[in-house]
Amino acid sequence: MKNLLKFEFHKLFRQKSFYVCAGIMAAFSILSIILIELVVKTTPDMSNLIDTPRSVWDIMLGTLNNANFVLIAGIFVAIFVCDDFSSGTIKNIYSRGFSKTKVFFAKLIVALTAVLIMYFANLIISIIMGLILFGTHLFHAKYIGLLFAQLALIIGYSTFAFSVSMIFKKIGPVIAITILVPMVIGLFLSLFDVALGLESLKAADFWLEGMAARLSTVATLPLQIILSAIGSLIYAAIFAVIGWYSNKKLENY
Amino acid sequence: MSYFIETNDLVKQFSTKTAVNNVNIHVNKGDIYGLIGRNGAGKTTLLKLLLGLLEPTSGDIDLFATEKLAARKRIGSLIEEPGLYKNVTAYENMKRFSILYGADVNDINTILEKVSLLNEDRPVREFSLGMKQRLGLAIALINKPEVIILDEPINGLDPAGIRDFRNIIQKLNKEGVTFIISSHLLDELAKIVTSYGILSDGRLLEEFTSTELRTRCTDYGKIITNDNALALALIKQNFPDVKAKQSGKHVEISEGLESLGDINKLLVKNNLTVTELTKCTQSVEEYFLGRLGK
Repeated sequence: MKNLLKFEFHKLFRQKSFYVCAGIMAAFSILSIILIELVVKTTPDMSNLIDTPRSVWDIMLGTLNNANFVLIAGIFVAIFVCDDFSSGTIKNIYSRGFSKTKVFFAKLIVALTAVLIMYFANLIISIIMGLILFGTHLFHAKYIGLLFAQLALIIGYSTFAFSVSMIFKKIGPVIAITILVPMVIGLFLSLFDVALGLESLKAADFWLEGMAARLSTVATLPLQIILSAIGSLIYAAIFAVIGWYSNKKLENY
Repeated sequence: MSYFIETNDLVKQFSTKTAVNNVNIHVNKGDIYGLIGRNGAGKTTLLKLLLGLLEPTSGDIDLFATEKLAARKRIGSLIEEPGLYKNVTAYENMKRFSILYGADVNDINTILEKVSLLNEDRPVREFSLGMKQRLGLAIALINKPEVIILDEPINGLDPAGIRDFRNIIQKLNKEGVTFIISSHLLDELAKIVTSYGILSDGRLLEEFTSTELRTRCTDYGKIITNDNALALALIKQNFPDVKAKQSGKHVEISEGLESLGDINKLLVKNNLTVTELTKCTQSVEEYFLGRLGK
């Protein structure tokens, strides 16, 4: 396992896509923050319509949405994982006596670490941008809870992208599934909520996309934060088990 | 007798197709074992089973009488197209796999020199097929494997590339590395192989050494005249013990070769122009094609 982790980390830090995706996230983050501020300043009426971040900490929490974080993280995970399958190098790994389970978890650990590094880099950029635009503000303990819940959500979403990559192995289909499936599931759950007239307890709120929206605002209730964090980790565990089991059974390389 | 590598009634079934059917191969230490068969005979599947890239449906694989995962750390391989990171250099490819296999990165240049890729700074995507094959072999050599499994390693290589590859294999074999090689290029394979296994429709037809093979390659006579049909008729009429048949643009004598001189006299006496009359030994390729029913 130690060699597998060293190997995967070595690859990660030499992979251009890691830096490119992190750069795109940072650019999205900065541009989104500037865009919202410009809209609010040039069109004062808009400030009532747009849920604008008004403090450095609001901007920090918006990292998840401003940078289209989960979307780009999913694409990065797909590129990182599928590389070994598309180049055929996975044969050089399995044929030297590394078990599928160890390969799976070594790749998962490194992919999640990469995504968390990207997240923290974006968080720092958001905080710097917030400080430039708004200066310092009072920090609430609730922000810590929201950040932890965001981390759990990122782990959940990235594990989904990872498992899809380990099952389908081809970058095109994997990116399509990683982007489209969460959206389609979110859409169907929203339709389900509307059809049943659910208002207080919505099914869509318990899907990754619904939780991402809730965890980007300070208005979210503490109970919802806890439920979102737990839900995300449960999703991560489920996706990991599905990915591990399917990968163990599949022989298409 | 215990073998270095052997399989016991190995079976691999893909839905309705049995790709490997009760195969028992036996590889001795120091062998260059040639696996021969037509496309779809099950060669690649068998090699993938040995390497753990596929799970057997039934049967067993014995690798150095050791636990399989541990044993596979002592096996290098090059299966189908070499698995390479195309956007980095040969050295970086070697470094990645050296880290993975727990090998000394200081050995990388020695190995790259063996395959003539030392100081090659271009990304692998710019390599020729031969260079990629040699880099694939270099990766297989990391951590000094005791066995190297190669699947069609010389396919697509030019004559110089084939010669280089053959020289590397022979050199490594002299250093004690055991090889299992599958190839379509039978005469090329025959230059280095010490033992053979013939696969057909997933079954192992037979195994034998290269020495045994030489005794199996039979002699035959080849006659070309200005009228082969008449020549064949005369031979059949005058030499009932001789077995002759029309084969392409010549008459082939498979039995009664001691009569070749008399046959020559007969043909000339009947005013036929004999442009060729030779006693040939069956080539390795001809033997295998005959054995595979082609």
